[in-house]
Amino acid sequence: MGIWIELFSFQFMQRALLAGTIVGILCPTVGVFLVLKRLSMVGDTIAHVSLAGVLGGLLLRLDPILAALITAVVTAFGIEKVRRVFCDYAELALAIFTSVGLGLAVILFNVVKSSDTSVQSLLFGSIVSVTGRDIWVIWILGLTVLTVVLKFYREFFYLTFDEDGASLAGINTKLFNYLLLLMTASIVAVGMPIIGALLISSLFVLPVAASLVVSHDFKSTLIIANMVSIFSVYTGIILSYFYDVAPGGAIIVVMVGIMILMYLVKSFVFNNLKKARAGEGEGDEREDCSGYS
Amino acid sequence: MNTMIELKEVSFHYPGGNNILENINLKIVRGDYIVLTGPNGSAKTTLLKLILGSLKPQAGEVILFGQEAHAFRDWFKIGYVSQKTNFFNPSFPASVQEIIWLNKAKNALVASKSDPQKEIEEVLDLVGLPEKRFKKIGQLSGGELQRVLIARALINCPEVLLLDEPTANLDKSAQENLSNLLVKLNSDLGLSVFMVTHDEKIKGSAKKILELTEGKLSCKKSTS
Repeated sequence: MGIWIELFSFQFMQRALLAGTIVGILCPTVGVFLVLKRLSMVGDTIAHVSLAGVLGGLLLRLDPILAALITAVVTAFGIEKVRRVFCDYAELALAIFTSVGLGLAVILFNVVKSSDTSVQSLLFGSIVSVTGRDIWVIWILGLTVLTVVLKFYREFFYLTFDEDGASLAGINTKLFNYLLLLMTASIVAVGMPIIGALLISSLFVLPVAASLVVSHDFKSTLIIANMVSIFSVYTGIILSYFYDVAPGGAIIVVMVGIMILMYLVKSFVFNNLKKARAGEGEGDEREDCSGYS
Repeated sequence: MNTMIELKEVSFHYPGGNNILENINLKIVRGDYIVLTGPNGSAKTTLLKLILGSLKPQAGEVILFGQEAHAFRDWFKIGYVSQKTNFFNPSFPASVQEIIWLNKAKNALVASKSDPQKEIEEVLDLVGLPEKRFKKIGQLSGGELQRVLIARALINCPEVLLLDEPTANLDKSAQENLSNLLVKLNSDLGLSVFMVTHDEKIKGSAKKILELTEGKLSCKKSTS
């Protein structure tokens, strides 16, 4: 018991949990829409370009979060623009921007490396070095994004399910597509220094992937993804304290573990049900293959 | 006669092309059951898109409930069932009731004291799928999915229903069920139906059959 009290008495731990809570909620909440719109890699692309932005910002002595935010937002708008130009090859936009981001980051990394050692933490994050100011920025932005998602939940859901139908229903699909990418960019910008440029996109995707294995409707997908994410973030941070490992990496490993566990449990339950039905001479119901393909 | 949708001298061409619709005149009145046929590529879907306001004609007018299409805001009065039943991923994690309620127009939500549960039950009863409410859409057959999409269009209590090849990719029994359902909606509820189809069974029950060939519209059958 004493070890837990000691754990939560550290200020850096309290900050890590506060920051982790909001990032853990934000990423899967927006991630559900991205994954189901087949834009799983957009967080990764924005993170790569933002990394170059932060490095450029360090050279220009700009605040890293501000530099990341500006770059991420510009990238998000650029992706949507290019996605419309190459509408039949939508994923091409992500490939183009990832290449540009990585290219610039490699060049800038060599320039900045000698003068700033904190660059390393940008790649893998440092949730335990979160400052009080970081907490404020993340929570204000996080609450803003959550308010937007709750207010326009129906619009985002419709846009994700059937963009043409949403347009005919009077939803400004162009505006909501930009809004979705803007929210993604903002989350990447504030989450990147904590989770790391190489890992932040996993928080958008992995909890949703785990949730898709067991969810039965859209609302439950959103709720389960959030539960998986929050549990993984807390467990990852605690494990990193006890075993002295990188928190970002620990969070991701926990997430993947939960996803595999959910898949195995569902397969086991599904197979047993199938056997039981076959025994009763039933089984005319169509299989639900979601999460298995 | 109560005209709901009217096209006056409408001509349309895609950028850089020739007119694919020329001086089209069309009236859909209350209680109509119209089938639009024509060879593949004869711009039948384009005609629907012009009515739905997603395309603008280069000449002529599209009048919806007495208003020009560009000024029309009461889109909930027009129900639309798209040609593509495979426009979404069948593994999409959404239940039948979520998909139906998604289409509930915002102004209709504000105007009526909406009771989602009751309204969803009502439209699913209408299309004969009351027990499928909590099913995941991926678990439905093609015919059931098409009925759910019709229920989705009916959630706003539209006055006219536009359908684009609703029986395509359905087996014979599902085609017949759907045809009977559309006749019932038209005769029992007075819902006007305007449909693009090649289905002979549906053509047989239509009050009017129009044919679109080489950009021109002609009437092949009329019982009125």
